[in-house]
Amino acid sequence: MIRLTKLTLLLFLTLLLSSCIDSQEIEKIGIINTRGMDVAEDDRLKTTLSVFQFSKQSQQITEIITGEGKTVDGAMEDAEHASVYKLVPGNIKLSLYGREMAEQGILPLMDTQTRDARISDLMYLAVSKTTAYEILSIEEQNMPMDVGMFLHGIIENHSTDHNIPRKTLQDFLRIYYDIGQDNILPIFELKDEMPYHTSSAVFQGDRMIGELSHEEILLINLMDRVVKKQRIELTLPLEPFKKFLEKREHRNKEANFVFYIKKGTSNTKLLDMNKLHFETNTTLLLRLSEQSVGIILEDKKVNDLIEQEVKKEMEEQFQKLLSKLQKLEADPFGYGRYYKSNPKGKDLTRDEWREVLPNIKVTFNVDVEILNHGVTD
Amino acid sequence: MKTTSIFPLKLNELEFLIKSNFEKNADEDLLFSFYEHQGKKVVVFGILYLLDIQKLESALLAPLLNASEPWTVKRLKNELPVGNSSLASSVDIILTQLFLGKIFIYIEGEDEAISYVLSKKMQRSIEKSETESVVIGPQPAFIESLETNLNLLQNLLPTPDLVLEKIMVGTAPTREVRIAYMKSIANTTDVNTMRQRIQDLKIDELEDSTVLTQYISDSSISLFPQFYLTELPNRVAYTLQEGKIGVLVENSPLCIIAPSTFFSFFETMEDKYMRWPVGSALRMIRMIAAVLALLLTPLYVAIVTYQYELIPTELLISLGQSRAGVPFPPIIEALIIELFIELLREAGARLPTKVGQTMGIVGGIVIGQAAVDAGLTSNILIIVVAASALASYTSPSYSMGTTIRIIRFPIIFLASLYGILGIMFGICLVLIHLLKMTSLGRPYIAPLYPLKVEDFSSVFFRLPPADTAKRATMYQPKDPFRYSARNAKRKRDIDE
Repeated sequence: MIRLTKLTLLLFLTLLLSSCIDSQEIEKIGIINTRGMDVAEDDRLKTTLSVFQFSKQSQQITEIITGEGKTVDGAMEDAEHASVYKLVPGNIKLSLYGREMAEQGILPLMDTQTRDARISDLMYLAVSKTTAYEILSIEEQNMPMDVGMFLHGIIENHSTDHNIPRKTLQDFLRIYYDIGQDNILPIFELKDEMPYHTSSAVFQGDRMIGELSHEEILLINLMDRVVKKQRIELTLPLEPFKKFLEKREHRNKEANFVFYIKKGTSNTKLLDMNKLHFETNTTLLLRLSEQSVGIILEDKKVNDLIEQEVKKEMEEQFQKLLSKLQKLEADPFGYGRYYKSNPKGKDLTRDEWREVLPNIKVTFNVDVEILNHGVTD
Repeated sequence: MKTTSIFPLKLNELEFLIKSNFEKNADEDLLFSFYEHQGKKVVVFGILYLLDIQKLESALLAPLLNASEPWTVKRLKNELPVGNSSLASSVDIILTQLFLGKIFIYIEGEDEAISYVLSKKMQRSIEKSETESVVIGPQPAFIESLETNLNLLQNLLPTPDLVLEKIMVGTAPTREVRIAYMKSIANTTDVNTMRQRIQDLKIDELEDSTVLTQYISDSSISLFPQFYLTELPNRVAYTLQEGKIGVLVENSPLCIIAPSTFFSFFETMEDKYMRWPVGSALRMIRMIAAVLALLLTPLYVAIVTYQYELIPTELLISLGQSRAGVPFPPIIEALIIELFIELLREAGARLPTKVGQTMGIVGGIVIGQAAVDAGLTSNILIIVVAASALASYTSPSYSMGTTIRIIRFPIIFLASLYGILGIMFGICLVLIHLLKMTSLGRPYIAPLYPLKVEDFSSVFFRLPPADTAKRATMYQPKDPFRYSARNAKRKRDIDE
C-alpha cells in the first residue's frame, strides 16, 4: 500500500513539475545561427542576428533581425520585438564583430556567452572589415546559402589549407587568459557583394590592433602547430640561378616559386633569460610544384641552391613579421609562453610582457628540404 | 458407489451402464462390438475417434477371434500381442481411461475388464522453426507432443547424464511437465528451486509453457520476460550443456530455459554457427538495436521539444521545415505514428500470412506517405519510428521485443515532459528495476551486476573456439570446464 502511495505521488509530481520547464518546439522559436556586433551611436551596441524561422507558407527560412541596446542582452531583447517567435541563442555558430567594435575590445561582449550554459563554446569568432551588419545583411540572392552558414563554412573547411585562423570562443578565451600569447581572428570583407576572407586581425588582449596577411598567418601557424598540405608562394632573386637556366629570354630579375608544404614544424627555446634571446628552429619539407623561369632541376646542386634561397627568404620573413608585431606590441607567436615556462619568469604579468616584448631577440633557423619536384596527388 | 466393482455383469447391462454416463447423443461415438468366441460372449468397447482402428483390427481383434482356446482375463493379459494392458473394475476408472484412448475387452462373467492403449494421437509433423527462424544451422522445431519433444532432445544429447524429471501438474486435466538438466553440470540449487516451484503449483489446468513461466517467474509484475522460451531443440541442448535448466510441458511447443539473463535474450544459435568475429558483430548489432528501439523516438520528441541545440545545423533546417507544417506538438505527432505502427504490427500478426503481408506493405507505404503529405507528421519522424520499429524486431525473442516496444511509451511521455532529462529519468527507473530482478534466483543483468568480466566473452561477444573452454561462471555450473583448455590450445604435428 505504501509502495502504491509512493508511486502515485511520484506520478503526480512528474505531471505537476513538467510545467516548470519551458518547451521550445523548434517550429515555434527563432534559432539564431549567426550574431553580429557593432558599435551604435551614444555608446550603444547594435546586434545583427541571422535567424532560422520555419513556416509552412514561406521557403525562406533565414531572417535578418537587428536590435540596439546598452548591453548584449538588451540588444537581443530589442531584436526580439521584430521577431514573431522567441529568439534562442543555443545554436549560435558564428560571432561576427564589426571592426570598430573589435578595436574597442570584445571581451565585455563575451560575458554572457561564457556564463550562459545554453550558448555553445564552440562558436567561431570573426571580424568584419567594416561592420557586421554590412556583411550579414547582404542580399541572399547573391549567395549560395545563408550568409552566416557561408562564413561558418569558410572557416570550418579552409582553416587547414588556406591560412584562415579558426578560433572558437573557448580557444579565444584560453589564449586571452594565458599570459604570453595573443589572438588572431579572420577578417571578412565584402567584394562585389560577396564576403571574402582578405586578411586576419591581430589582437592585443581583447582589442584588435592590426592586420596580418595570409602569408604572415602561415608563419604564425608554423610556430603554433604542425603545418601540412599548405601552399606557399615565394619570390626569390633570379641571380643565383643564372647558371642553371633554360636557354630562353629572361626578362624578370626575380623568380616565382610555388611549394607545397608536406610537413612544417617548429620548436622554440629561450636561450638567454636576461638578454631575452630566443631561438626558433623550423623544419620545412617542401615539394616544388611551380616555378616561373625555367630552371633546369636535374642537377642536385640546383636543389641545394633552392633550399638555401628559400631558407634565406623564410628567415627574412620571420624577422620582418617579428619586428612588425613588436611595433604593435602583440605576440601571436606566443614567445611569452616560453618566457613564462622558465622558472625565473613564472611571475610574468600581462603588462610586464607588453613592456618586454619589443626588446626580445629571436634567431630564426629554417631548415628546408625539397623532397621532389612535381605533384602526384 | 461408482468406485466399487460393478462386475460381473451381462454384456448389454454393461453397455447400458457405460452409455448412461454420456450426455445426450454423445454415446453414438462409442464403439461396442459383441463377439462370440468358443462359447463365451465378449465385448470390445472404446471411443471411436480416439482409436487407431487399423491397429485395433490387426493387433487385437484378429488374434482375439482366431484363437483356438477360450479366453480368460488372465490369458488376455499374457497372450495378446499388445503392450500396456491394465485391469479395471469400476465405472470411474473405465470412463477416465476411455477418454485417454484405451480400448476395453470384457468377457461375460469375469470380475474385471482389461484395457489396452490403442490410441492415435493427432499431431503435426516436425517443421522448420517459425518464430525463431534460423538461416544456417539445424532447422527443426519442437511440436505440441511431449513425446516427440523428448525424443528430439534425447537424440541431441544421447547420454545418461541428461535427466528428464517428470512432474505432474494440475488437477483436471493433469499435465506432464519435464525438467531437463545435465546431472554433472547443472547447479543443484537451481534444479531444486525449479522443482519446488513447479511442485508447489496448485492449479486446475496448465495451458501451456508460456503460462507456466508466468506462474513460476520471480517477479510477477515485471514487464520483462524472466525465462527464455525457445522452440529450437538445438538451443535447449546447447543451453543445457552450459549448465542451465530446460522445462518441457505437454502440449506445448516451447521449452522454458532457466535461469535466463537479460542479455541471453539477444543471443541466437546463429552467433554460434557463424565464425566468431561475425557472430560477435551480429550479437553486438542486436544489442545496439535494442537501445535504438528504446531511445530513438523519445530522443526525437525530447530534441524537437526542448533540446534544439543538439541538432546539427543542416538537419535543423530540414527538420524545422517539415515540423512547421505539423499542427500538433511533437508528443502527439510521435504517438500518432507509433500507434499506426503498432496497429500495422497487430493487424499483420492476426491476419493470415498472405493478407498480412499485403496489409503491411500497403499500410506502411500509404499511411507513411500520406501522413507526411497531409501534414500530420514530419518525414524525419517517419524515418525515426520506422527505424526503431525495425530495431525492435531484431531481438530473437519475440517477448523481449514486445517488452522493449511497450516500455518505450512511458519514456516517450517522460521525454515530452522533461526532455533529455526525462529520458535519463526513465532509463534510471528501468535500470533500477533490472538491477532488482532475478531469474530463478540468479541476477537478471549478470554479468554486469554482479560484475563478472570473464563472462563478457560469452555474453557480449564470442571468442575463438580454443578460448571457450570455460563455461560462464554466472550460472555457477558444477563443472566450470567444457574441456581441457590446455589440450585445446596445443598444436600437433601431422606425424605425431
